[in-house]
Amino acid sequence: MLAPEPGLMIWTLITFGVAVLVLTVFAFKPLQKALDARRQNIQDGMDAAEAARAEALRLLEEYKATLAKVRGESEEILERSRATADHAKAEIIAEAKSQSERILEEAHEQIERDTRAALRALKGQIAELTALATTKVATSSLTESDQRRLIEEALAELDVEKLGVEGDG
Amino acid sequence: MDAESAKLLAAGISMGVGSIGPALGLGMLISKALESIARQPEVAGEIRTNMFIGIGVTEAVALYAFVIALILIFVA
Amino acid sequence: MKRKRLIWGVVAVVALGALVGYDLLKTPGQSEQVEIVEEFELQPLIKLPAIGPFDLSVNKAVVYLWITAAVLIVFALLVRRSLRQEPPSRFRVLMELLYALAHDGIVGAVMKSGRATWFPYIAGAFFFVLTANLIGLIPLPFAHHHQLGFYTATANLYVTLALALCTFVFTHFAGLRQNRGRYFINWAPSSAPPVLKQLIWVIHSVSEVFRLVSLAVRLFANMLAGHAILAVFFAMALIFQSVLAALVLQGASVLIYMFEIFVAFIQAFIFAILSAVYIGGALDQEH
Repeated sequence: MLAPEPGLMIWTLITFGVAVLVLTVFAFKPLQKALDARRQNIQDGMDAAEAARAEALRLLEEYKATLAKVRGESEEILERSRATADHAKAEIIAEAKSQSERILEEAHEQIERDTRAALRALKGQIAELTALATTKVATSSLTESDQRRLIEEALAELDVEKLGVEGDG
Repeated sequence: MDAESAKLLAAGISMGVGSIGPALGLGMLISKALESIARQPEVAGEIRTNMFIGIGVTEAVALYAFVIALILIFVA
Repeated sequence: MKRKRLIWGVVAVVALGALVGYDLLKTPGQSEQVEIVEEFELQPLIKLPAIGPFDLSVNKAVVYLWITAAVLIVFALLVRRSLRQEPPSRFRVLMELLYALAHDGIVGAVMKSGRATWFPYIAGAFFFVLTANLIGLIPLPFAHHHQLGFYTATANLYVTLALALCTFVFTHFAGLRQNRGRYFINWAPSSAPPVLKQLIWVIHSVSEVFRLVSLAVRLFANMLAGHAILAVFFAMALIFQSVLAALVLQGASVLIYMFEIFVAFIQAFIFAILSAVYIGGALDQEH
């Protein structure tokens, strides 16, 4: 059973060599190629998915940025319009105030003018009435010149300003 | 005892005694390998490969005894 | 479903054993005397002239080698054909699994450099030994008087020695090609003191030879022992001449047979992985 058989060794080497050769050419190399192709396929798919993901992320970032910008802009517009409105409001109020002040002033002036005019008229009338009354009272006893002097005195005593103030009040 | 029976006896003894060492060795080897796998299951594949290499080397010792027994019976 | 398959497997193996036993039994003059050793002896089937010391006669082992090579070639062609099929067939997926085992489990796990160069040899050795071992578990009519019998080419020392010689030669060829003149010097660590260095070198040289022998003997002895045990179990029923013993031994032989399938696989794996370790060690030497 253990007797040397060198011929069998030769046969072994021949069959083994042929088998390895055939396996390498027909099985190992095509299989490796197929496996590599499949790996490449999967890698490509993964790369594509990764690229798509990156693209989607980029788009999302872009949309976010755009949205933020738009929001900022609208805020700005709102702010600006609010400022404009405030400004206009203040202007209108100021104008109204000044106008009312002007009207008030005019009214004051008008009143003063009227008062003055009324006083002037009153003064004249008082003088006349006084002259009339004095004439009636003292026609007989008084000379023309006396009359004039008396009237002047009476007029001087008459505090026109005071009267005016009282009349005003 | 004639030569023929002495040969057969020697063959039996060589196989029996020659198996003791490799048997113990294989037991230790595999128990340690299993312990390692239980402790670190993440490298189980590597441990298993090395375990088989170890089994191959250890087992060869018993097979030398087997061949000696064969030589004693058929050649000597 | 699975249990059904298992039962059918057991029935098939028992029937097979019975067939072999019957075959042995019906042969005239041999019914009671079963010579297991004869199963492993080689007689030339076809006489061919010897070239020098090489007797090229075709015997049982050569026929088994041919069958192994033929099966491998058929499978290689089937693989190539199946590659055109999309989606992959079950056969192709199984073949890819085996290929991945050789590619990643053996070469990829052990070797650092030269993977692509040495993969065909190591994977080829793996599949060759695996196929030879498995074919040995199929009864073929090459036993004495053309009976059915279990035999395998790898249960012959000179077949495994030839395979181991391939690994031995390729190891040193790879080492020399990679490391040039430094290859033999690197066998001993350069840091060792002079005398110790030479001693280590001698020990390493001896171990190189022992690697060759152990690689051959491991495969041969494993397959021979497995087949001898199977033959003993199948033949023992005839020796005992008892139906009860036959039933028990046939049942036990089923378990042995299953274990032998496992051994056939493991031995092919170990042969290939040790070849990868040796060649890888010669390529990436420690200095």
